[in-house]
Amino acid sequence: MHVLEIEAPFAQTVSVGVTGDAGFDREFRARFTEHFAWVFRYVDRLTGDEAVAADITQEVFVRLHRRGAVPDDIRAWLATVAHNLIRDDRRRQARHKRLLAERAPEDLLADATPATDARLLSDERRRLVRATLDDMTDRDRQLLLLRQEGLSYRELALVLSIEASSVGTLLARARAAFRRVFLRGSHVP
Amino acid sequence: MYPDDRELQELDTILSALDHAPPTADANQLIARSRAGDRRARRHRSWAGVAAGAGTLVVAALAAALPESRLGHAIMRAFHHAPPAATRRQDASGGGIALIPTGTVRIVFRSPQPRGEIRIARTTDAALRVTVRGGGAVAYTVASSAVTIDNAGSTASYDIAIPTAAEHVRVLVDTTTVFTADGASHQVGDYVVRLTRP
Repeated sequence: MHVLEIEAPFAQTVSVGVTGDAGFDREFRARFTEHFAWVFRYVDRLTGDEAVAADITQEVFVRLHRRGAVPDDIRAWLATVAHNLIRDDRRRQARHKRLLAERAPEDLLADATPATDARLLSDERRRLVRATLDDMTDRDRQLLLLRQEGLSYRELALVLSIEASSVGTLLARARAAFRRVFLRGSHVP
Repeated sequence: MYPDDRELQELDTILSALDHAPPTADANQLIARSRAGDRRARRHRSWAGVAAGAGTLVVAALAAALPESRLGHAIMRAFHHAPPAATRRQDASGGGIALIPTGTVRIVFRSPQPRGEIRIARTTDAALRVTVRGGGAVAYTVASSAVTIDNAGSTASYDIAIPTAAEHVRVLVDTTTVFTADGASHQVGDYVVRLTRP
């Protein structure tokens, strides 16, 4: 590091905003109230795991606070951070599955929990919607679900790294794919 | 209703089969988690720094034991040219300090003041500058990655210009972080942080 000592005052042009820790905490609480529910709903729909969604959503907001400033495109930023955390979580889960597969079968039997009545009687519609989403590509699923949360075409383009001019077409295809698979599943006896 | 709205509504009805009630979450708990994470990261960095320092000393000692080695000469040259920590006391009459940041820089105000504020702005200049406006004498101590401002008893205000190219900059008052800029793309407006206790 080079150090220079400056004797004369610098000409400074500063436009003033007010923040600091306390100021940002207030801002953070307001943004948390505004965005927490949709981020959770989005991650829950995307992952199909309520507990994972709760953890990831909270971590998204911890990271927002740690950032110390609200990003310009906050919805796009929140979605992007959620995607990164989901990807990390999937990697962890894949490692965990590999470790389980390396264990002896009797160990696995000891871990197995019996299916509850509630699980057996789980909603058929829920499974169908889940299966329909799982049948889609990651991008189509994210596009469809983020649009449902009200993200604009510009925000969708930002999050998914696609051209804004392509969003309409890609979204229409994603919706058509969803309907096709969902309706096919609905008609299976 | 536009076709897109109708489609959104229909899809939402279908997708709502997957929904669960949002968990109970408290913004204050998340703020506490964020701060606890910051403290853990600081501890981790300080231990990493201690380990790196110890490693450097071991290598330097080994190199010094071999007076004809190129490594030994290189280390001696590096130490010879390294800028030492410098302390400078000055009246708060508009002077300041500037440095070319490399990597992480911490700007630490040792204590809160009865009055005064820090104005933080991004600059396209290469130098990070701290200037002082009015209110008594302060001393700067400049080390390899930190500027410490001994501002006890001062009522001065300060302007900090942070280069947009600076990777990680953190401004603290005592032990409280009042500003962070992480990553070259960090683009926010300018800031005013009070130096008084809340």
